[in-house]
Amino acid sequence: MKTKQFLLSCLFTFMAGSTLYAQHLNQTVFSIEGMYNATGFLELIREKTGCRIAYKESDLENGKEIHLDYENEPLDAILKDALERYGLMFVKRGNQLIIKRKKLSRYKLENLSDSVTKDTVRNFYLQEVVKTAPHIDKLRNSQMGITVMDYNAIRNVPTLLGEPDVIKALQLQPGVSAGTEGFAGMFVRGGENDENLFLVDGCPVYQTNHLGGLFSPFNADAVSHLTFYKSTFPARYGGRLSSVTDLSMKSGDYENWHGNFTVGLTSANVSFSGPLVKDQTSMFVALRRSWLELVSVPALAIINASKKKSGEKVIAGYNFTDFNLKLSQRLGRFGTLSLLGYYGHDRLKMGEHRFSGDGEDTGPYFHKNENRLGWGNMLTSLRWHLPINTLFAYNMKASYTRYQSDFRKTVETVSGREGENGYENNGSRNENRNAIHDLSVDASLVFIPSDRIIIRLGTQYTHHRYAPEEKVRESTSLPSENVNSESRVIANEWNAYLEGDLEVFRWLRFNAGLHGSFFRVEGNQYQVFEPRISADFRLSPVVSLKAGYARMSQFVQQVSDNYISLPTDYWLPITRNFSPLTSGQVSAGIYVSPGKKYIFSVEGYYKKMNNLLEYRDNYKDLQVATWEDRLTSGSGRAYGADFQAEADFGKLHGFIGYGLMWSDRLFADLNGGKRFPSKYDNRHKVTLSAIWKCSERVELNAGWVFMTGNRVTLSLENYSYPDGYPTDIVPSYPHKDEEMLDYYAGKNNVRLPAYHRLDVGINIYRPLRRGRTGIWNVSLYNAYSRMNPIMIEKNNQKQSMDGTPLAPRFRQFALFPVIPSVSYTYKF
Amino acid sequence: MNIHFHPCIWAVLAGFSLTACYKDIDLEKYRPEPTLVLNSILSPDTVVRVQIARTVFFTDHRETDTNIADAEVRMSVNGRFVETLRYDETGRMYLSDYRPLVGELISLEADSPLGHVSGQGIIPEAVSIESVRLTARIFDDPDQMYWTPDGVTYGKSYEVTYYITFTDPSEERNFYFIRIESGDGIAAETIDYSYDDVFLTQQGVIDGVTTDTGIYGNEGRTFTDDLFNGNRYTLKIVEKAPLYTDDSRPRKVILYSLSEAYYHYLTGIFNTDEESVNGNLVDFGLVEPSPHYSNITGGTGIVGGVQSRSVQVDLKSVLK
Repeated sequence: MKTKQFLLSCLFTFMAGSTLYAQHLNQTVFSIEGMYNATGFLELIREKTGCRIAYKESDLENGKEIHLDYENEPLDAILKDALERYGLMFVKRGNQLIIKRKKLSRYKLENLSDSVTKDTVRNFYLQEVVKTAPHIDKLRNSQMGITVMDYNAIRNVPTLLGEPDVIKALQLQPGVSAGTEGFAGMFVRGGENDENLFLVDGCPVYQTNHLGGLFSPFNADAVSHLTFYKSTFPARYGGRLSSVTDLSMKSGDYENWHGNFTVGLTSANVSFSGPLVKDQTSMFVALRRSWLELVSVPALAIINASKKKSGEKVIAGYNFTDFNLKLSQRLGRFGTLSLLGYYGHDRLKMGEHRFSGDGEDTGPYFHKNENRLGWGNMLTSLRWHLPINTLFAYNMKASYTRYQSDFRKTVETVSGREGENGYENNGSRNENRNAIHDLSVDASLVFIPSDRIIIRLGTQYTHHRYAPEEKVRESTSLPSENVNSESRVIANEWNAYLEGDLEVFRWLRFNAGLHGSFFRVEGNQYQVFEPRISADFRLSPVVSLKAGYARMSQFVQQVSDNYISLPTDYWLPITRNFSPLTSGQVSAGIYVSPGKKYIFSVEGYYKKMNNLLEYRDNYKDLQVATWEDRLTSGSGRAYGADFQAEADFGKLHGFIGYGLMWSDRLFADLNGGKRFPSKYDNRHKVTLSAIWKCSERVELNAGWVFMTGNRVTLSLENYSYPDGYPTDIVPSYPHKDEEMLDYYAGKNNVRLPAYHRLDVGINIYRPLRRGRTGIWNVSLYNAYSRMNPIMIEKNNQKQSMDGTPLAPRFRQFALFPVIPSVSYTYKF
Repeated sequence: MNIHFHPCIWAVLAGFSLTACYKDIDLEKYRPEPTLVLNSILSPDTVVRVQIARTVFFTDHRETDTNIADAEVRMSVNGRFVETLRYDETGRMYLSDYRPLVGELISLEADSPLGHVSGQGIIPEAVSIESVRLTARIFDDPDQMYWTPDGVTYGKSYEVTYYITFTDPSEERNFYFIRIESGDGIAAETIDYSYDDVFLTQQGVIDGVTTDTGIYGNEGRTFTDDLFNGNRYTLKIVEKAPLYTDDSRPRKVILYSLSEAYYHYLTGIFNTDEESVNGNLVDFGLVEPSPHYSNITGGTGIVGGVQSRSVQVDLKSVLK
């Protein structure tokens, strides 16, 4: 059957329609026994029924715990009795419950919108329409290794330069190596930085940082919450080997307008949310931009004014921009239509002009050498969410994603006067571009026939247009060598999945599924079937044993030889010369939750990765024909255990994490074909984190990280350069301070000293007039100024400043001392 | 003063409190067993010479004699054994009586208590320099500011452009090294290769991200014939320096023809600018370093082939 027909048939099957999925609230009986406050009771109801519950946190605050004891009672009766005892009342609207304090009239209650108001209001929704962080019961959930963070959790992680950063918040998780300090690297359970899937409302994003990883590409003010998977992966996810970060962006408020304005040390951002048409159409928009040019532009103007006499001009500048947009339109019984837009871009320009200055003894002269680098993502999607009936919900989405990194170098020289002897006028332009354009459509269906079963199935088709390395070279001095090579690679990818989450018995729940990936490129077709299974065995009400297996595949990779994320690291697709990357991960663990306030878990894992790509040694010097020739293929593995303990005492939240890990690589063309440790083979990692809301206006947060040092490739030995020849046979050795060449015996052969760091921060809330709020954030990154080394150098200095002789020695180099930061947020 | 990328990295990464820290560290636990080194550069202008040595732990390298004087070194030509080389105490090398010819495959192997190493090389055809043309411009240089009784004055600097013409001999891939020496055999003043496409195409994308757009390397630089294969080509190189006097400034322009292995070896040594963006990133430990190229089996080092031709010029002819 042809691909197109098959795809259409699948789509029509899903579009046959059904009804809204959730339980009929009248049709089931429940048993509940225990001490619960109002929040815990509603959470329990949501878990048991899957229904949507809307309420204000302030209505449930300070709720006392009450002993509840119901056996096989209808839900209506349980709700009426229990909520009355909590001083609450409820209204059912279809599959939804609206909860309110008793003082409101029923009329007002029935006319409450189910929309999100300010971020102090929490609503529970089905996961497809979640507007705030869903609560994941880690004890009862069949999935392992899940972390959910809301906007506040992200914001409360102190970071370098005070910029809230999604990736730096995730770096605190056990099993996640941060890479080089200060940069937003993420190496999950021995994986590489490009093996992490980042989804913005379901759309993949390729470039996940600004300026090499110093800043996050995700404006934290635009993020509602994120769900992070590192262990077992639901079948609906695919495309990367090591982790999935599913970011839900904030939606607009259907009732009132409000917003934020934040200014920090390096950037400012503003966001607005409100109704375009009340109760019908909402909008959320956020814009963030660096403001470093306010300083650099005038400084550069002063420098260039002073250099004008000598005929020089410096060209320099950098900025980054993020823009988020979400428009939502309610269609009544036809669900919700959402338009999402995201744009993130960096621009860097560097160069110089040299020209005839005053006092030149020769004729006119102008030389220009300018370099411009731009990189970033752009995505847009149109999504339709249709709650069909109490059992089914349907989603359909069309999206366009673009990643582009563009480097342009322009050189021009004009010397002398035209027509005169010695006149010269030539120039060249070199351009390198790496780009990915993805057009995709997908559809999914969720079916919940009972509170014990959730079934999901979906399909996605993506048309990829890769430009791994487009080159343009134009030169007036070598016109015969002008190049305009478009290295386009067209690929078509189709994914389909079937996932079931079943509670077979009260003591056994599992999530099982199959994700199929089909990738067609350059006449070759690859198919990878990815079974996923995870199970939860309830040994007692407070202890669960979990186990799982996940196979993942990846058809595109960002190969890099540096430890920060540079825009010159190109995304390269799998071609006929390289097989798809695959991984298989087995995990098992124990989860213990003696009370609702605590949860402990220990999880062991083993992960094998195949068909990984790396650059060959000396690839820059090889002058090989194509980008494929620079690469070599190999495998990797990682194994270890993660321990986590979380506690929630209301005003005090705490987290302790410990990770134990081994990670290595094996490439036939690297390290003499011998296995070598991966760079982020951090044997031990300890994380302590606490947030304390000490009063209504003051919130303190602190975090401490300890980690075994990263590995580095260090030359421990030297050897001689050819000696005793005249310079017309062997040119004299160029590096005068070093008499000998560096010899590298192996990759990642030395481990840096251990890393540890304490971060502290304080948020001070200042209520202003008309319900507005000002928030000061002051934080200290690396509060006790531990100078953590990032590399080791060989120092061959022969004497100190005072003439004392020095022997050759190794020296470690550290970069980041204590760094304070401050920001101000105005909420209105 | 140009804004270099090097201080920009410091300014961005160091934040408010610019107190980056160096501290000695003991790496004795990583001390490895030494590895054999074999170096030999083949030229028809001299007999075959071989250096046998060993690698040395960095902290010992100033005091330790790495030369190995008791190895057995054997030479074959086109697969046929010719002789066992003798050790010369004065030159601290193993010498033969044989002068290699262009196109011959010279194979060398050595045995010592540290192990067995081997390598081979071929001498390429020589390429002559047909002409060297010079142009110059002179300008006031703010980096040479002087205080005089009459106020501030600026010294002068010059930029001399060398136009070096030669013909690439064949459609085979050819490898070169270009060097400009002063009259006493020392490398000339600041040499900038960024005015010629042959060198611009060598530059990595990341190295273009800087305000100082020069490609520097006073001791010379390698290149290939990829842009002018089999044709006549004029290489454009710029020399920059202060202009103190009108004295003679003799220069020797040397064009080396290299074997492919020797080209890769010299590229890794000479084409790496520690002041470039990539060089700075390596210094900061942010880029994986590359091992030096070696065509030696069982150890490290190089067996390479070379021929060179040179032309003498004097900058005084264009500098006033």
